[in-house]
Amino acid sequence: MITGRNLDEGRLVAAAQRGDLDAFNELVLAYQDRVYNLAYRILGDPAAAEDATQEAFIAAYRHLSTFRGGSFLSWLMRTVANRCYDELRRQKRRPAVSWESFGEMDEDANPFLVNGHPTPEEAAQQAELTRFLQSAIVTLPPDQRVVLVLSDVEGMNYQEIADTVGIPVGTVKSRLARARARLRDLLQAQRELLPRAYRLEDEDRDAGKEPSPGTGR
Amino acid sequence: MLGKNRARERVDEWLSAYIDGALSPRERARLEARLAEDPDLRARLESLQRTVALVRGLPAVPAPRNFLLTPAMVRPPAPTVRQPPSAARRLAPALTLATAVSGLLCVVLLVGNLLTAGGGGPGAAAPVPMAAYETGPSPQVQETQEALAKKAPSSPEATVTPEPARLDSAATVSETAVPEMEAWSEVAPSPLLEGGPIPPEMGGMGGGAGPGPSLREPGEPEEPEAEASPTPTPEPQPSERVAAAGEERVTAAPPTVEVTPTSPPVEMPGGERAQRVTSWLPVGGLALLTMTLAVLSIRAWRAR
Repeated sequence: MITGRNLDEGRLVAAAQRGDLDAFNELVLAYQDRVYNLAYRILGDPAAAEDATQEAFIAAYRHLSTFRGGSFLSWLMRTVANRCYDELRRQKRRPAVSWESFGEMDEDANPFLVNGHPTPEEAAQQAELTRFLQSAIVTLPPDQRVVLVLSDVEGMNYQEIADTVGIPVGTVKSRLARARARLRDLLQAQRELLPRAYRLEDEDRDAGKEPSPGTGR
Repeated sequence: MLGKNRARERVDEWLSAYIDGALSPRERARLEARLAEDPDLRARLESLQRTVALVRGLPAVPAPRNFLLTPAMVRPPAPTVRQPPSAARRLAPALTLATAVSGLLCVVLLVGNLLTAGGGGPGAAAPVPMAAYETGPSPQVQETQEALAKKAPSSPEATVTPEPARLDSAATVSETAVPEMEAWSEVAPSPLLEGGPIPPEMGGMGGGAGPGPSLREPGEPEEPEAEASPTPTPEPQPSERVAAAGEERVTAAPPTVEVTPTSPPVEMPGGERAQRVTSWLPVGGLALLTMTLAVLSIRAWRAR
């Protein structure tokens, strides 16, 4: 993951706290990819992620006075995570993305998906898998979704997630476990949609019954 | 089923924490021992590990654009937009309070005025109490005018008699006599002039008044008073004579009769009018102020 360029974070934050917008914009440029990525993975929608990212930066600038040292990036990620969390709670009234809508996501929304893969076939497979996975994440309840993304997309440890979301470490642990198990179940249930190379189990082994013990490749 | 599900959840929690390396060494040792002998558990761990790996392998999505902040974005919107309403918001309650206070004062004054005015009776009766308070004799004098024509009540006499008595008997100048003296001088300048000796003697009005009537005896309406002057000693007579004098005044000497009642009444209505003006003016002013304040406060509330 991106850890930011070689920038004097402390100096820039201090200058921004004094009202230096240019200094803050340097921080924006340094961290906007990570902030947007987090928002996109939680929300699953490019437009909503853009809005959340911009709002998070504005909110961060306005509340810079509440930043009391530590990692500015962590503080920023907490800001955007909470914004996404609020957005998810707002969306709760709307019907959640159904399992049936899997595979119907707009590929143009994720133009990056085709990048970084040499062969077109691999690229197509990866794109399909990513799309599938993101769709599955979006079906998770907001509580679990935020924790899963912070952990497995952002690479935060339990304590960091607990600080960001404002829940006990034990709750982080159980929510993450439930999120992962549910995601696994979703993937297993829809394994036909997955590219063969990325399936969780070998089709031959679990024919007709519960997933048989895998020998581990 | 529920118990089984819960057990599964608990196992998943262990496996999840195991993947993250978040188990205590003891828990980890226990789990690893179980994994070694339970292929199903191994399979579950593997599927979970693969799932986590898939999520962790999700490509980072770069920001589709720059999210640089502009001064307009971070400009505090509250002060510029909400300044005027906030001023009105602050003023509105104060204006309303002022309206209420001024309205209350207006009502209190109005009621007070009505009570003072209405105490003696409606309308025309209003001046009476004030006149009685300031110049007591006036109603009695009015009564005397009417009463004297018919009969001679005792109370009017009492009021009327002392004046001439003082005038004549007491050479000392009494202040109560002054109005009558003024009237006297106005009404009958000619007799005074005729009775020339008066001015040279005293020069003062009271002094002149004393001998004045007596000198004028032969003359005219003043005669009775002049006669009344010696009378104070004989008791029964003065009343009759005064009564007679009153009658004479009414009939023969309108000027003197008028003098007694008019001089105080003229002041009374004037003073009362002034009183009315001074007491009703604040009421009107307060009413105006209340209305203005009410309009202002309504505007202030609407501006909010």
